[in-house]
Amino acid sequence: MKSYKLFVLGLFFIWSCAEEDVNSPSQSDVFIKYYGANANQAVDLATYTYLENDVEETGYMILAQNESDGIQSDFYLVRTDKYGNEVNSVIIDVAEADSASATSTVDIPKKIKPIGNGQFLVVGVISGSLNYLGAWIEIDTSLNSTNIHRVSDVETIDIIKTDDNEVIILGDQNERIVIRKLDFDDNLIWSSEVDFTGDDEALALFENPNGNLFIVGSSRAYEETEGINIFALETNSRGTAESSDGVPKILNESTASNDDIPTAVIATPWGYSITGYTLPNAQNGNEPQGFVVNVSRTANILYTHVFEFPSNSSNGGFESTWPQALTVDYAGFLSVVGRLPEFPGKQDEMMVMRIHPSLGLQESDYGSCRSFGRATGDDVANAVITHPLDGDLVIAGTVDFGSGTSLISLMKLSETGDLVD
Amino acid sequence: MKRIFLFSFFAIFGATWVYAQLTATQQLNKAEDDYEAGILIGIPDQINGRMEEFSKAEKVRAKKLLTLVYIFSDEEKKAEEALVDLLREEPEYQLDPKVDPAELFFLYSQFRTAPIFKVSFRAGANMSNPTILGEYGTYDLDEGALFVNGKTKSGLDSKEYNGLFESGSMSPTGGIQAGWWTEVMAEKHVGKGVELGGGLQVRNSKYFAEQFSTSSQKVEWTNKQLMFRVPIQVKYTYNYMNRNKSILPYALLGLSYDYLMSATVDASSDIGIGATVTGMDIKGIDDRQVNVHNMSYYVGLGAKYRVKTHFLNVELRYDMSPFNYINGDNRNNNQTSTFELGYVEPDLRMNVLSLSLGFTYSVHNPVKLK
Repeated sequence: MKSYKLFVLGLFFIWSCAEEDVNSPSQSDVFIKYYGANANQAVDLATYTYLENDVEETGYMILAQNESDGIQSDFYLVRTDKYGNEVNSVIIDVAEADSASATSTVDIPKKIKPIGNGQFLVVGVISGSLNYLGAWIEIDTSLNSTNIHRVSDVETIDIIKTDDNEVIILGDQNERIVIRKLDFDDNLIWSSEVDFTGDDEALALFENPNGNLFIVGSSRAYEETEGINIFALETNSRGTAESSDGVPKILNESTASNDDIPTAVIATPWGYSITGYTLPNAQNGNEPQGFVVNVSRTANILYTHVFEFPSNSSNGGFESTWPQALTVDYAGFLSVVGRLPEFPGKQDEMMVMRIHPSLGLQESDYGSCRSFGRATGDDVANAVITHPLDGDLVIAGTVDFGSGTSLISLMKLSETGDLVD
Repeated sequence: MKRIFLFSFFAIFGATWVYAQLTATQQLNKAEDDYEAGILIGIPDQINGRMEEFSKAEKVRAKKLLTLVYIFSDEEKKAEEALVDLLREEPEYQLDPKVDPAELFFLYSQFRTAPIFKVSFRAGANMSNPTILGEYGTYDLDEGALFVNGKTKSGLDSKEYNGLFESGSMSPTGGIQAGWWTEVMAEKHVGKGVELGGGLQVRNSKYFAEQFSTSSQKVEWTNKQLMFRVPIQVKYTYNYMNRNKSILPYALLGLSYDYLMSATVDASSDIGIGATVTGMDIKGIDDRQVNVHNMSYYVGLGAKYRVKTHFLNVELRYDMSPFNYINGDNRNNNQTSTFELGYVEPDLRMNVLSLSLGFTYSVHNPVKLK
């Protein structure tokens, strides 16, 4: 009888000790995926919805730049399901029809914008072509139906679709900012220019709720200072700036020689948030130092914060940060992604930082700063969105596997930026 | 007078000398003859003093003879002691119904003659056969492929896989992944050939995974485990009670607590410049990639070959774990794996087929049953 009792006791012991993995995250909760071959660079990221077993699910559209031979590059679109599995992909040689320079054109994608009904607008720049400077593309989620609109005189940087079913493109032309409204047959509705005193470069275009336009970009030698400065500008609905008050010089007025280079802008509940980096920064060993600037919809500065994330190196100082994109996360914080140049002991790493929208990077937030990537490659997080349903961070990045192979990565992190659920 | 004294001296001395010159074997034979002749008195004195001189077989004869003498001398206590001595000399001694008297059978039946427990020592080789529970990975699960020990989640080998999918030619090299194991187990017979057992085991095993993102992008991943296991089992032995059978087949069912002592990975990737890691600890790190505590159940078939009261045995066993070996919470969290190599472990459970050779030692403690 004693042996029976021991046996039953053993059964209970064994059963109670097992770690049943009931909490294993779903494949769609957290993942990292790689796409492509040869050299690729992620650029932008958007979501789309699809039905799976009569349930609406969220998939991802990644816009990337594909370099097949190190000289020519094309637009590269990857569509994935909610698990990050590639559903289909397409490489679009935007300058294909430009027979004069088809073999050496560099197509540089800039933005992908969902416009509803499974349709997207993709915009980018063509370099090396004799005939075109930019292009915008209508494309659906199947990636099969594409309608390419080539632009001969403007480097097209951003695009929005208006309520009257037309588009407004933002671009550069001869060191000036060009805003242009077109219909889908490429007929010009109106055109406007913004010209500061130097070399102006457009970055982002938005439409305010009142119909006015909001543009962000950079300008060299603005207001008699040296270096590059950010501009943010509210115009009327036809792209005309009505007041110089709406043209702020934003960052580092005391160190005017710095280049303050904006890299991404998002619409936020308070207006807009701009991220970028200032370079060179003597205080930081002339390494790039990231910043976030919050502005109102009328382009007034609400808050400016330069990242002072303590370095891990023995020399102290601040970690070099090179933001590339940002999003408002589930808790209303700003999640900024980009690269950590020459991260200690490694090459560039993908960076994920969580920043309070009005207090900046607090010491208590240092623990939430993440780095991902390969020790021997230069990796960068290029785009980020907050998942519309579960609040997780979804990041499109570029991972350098060496030997000319850099793959597009798609990471779905937790709400707090971890590779765990 | 002097002559009479000398004669008597030599007569007594001579008789004593002759008596003393009987060998132990002759002495035993003589005692047995006396028993057959019904001369019981003096037998214990004849053989007790020479017990140390007897061979093993003679000791058995001698102790059985003593038991019989005491039975028929109505010295019950001494008979019991003699029988215990006999059973200690030769556990599981079998009586012969044609020769041995009923009184001896009766006394014998009052004693425990079976082993109180057995201790088995086993060692052998094993072969992993993991089951993929859920495919996770950095690759496109719809277009790429993951082979673990040469098989996909749906059990396809490379030939079958390449026949079904147009994903390029995948040529996994996995297959048999061998390890070793050793075990010590105590077993107790609880009746009708059924034994309950519990023991300790150390098992070294490994599996080999190959991930094809495309036909030209491959990651090879060898996960090695060293487990300390605590198995308990129920074993049924056919003809268990038949001591005349020299070969006894058996079947068993068991359950085991599995503690992962170490888990290391050797891996290589040919993506881009490629990467190689050797002996990467995936258990000791903070974000451990594997579950440390697990359990498994097993079935087995074997055969025992009787060597006196002990056994040599050969056993085939299949261990199946119902739970995930991979710690899913942290599967993506190892940057060396996810970024340097571009590999993420799938959910899988460890199944292991093992073959062992062993020796079972029977431990006896003959006592009178209450």
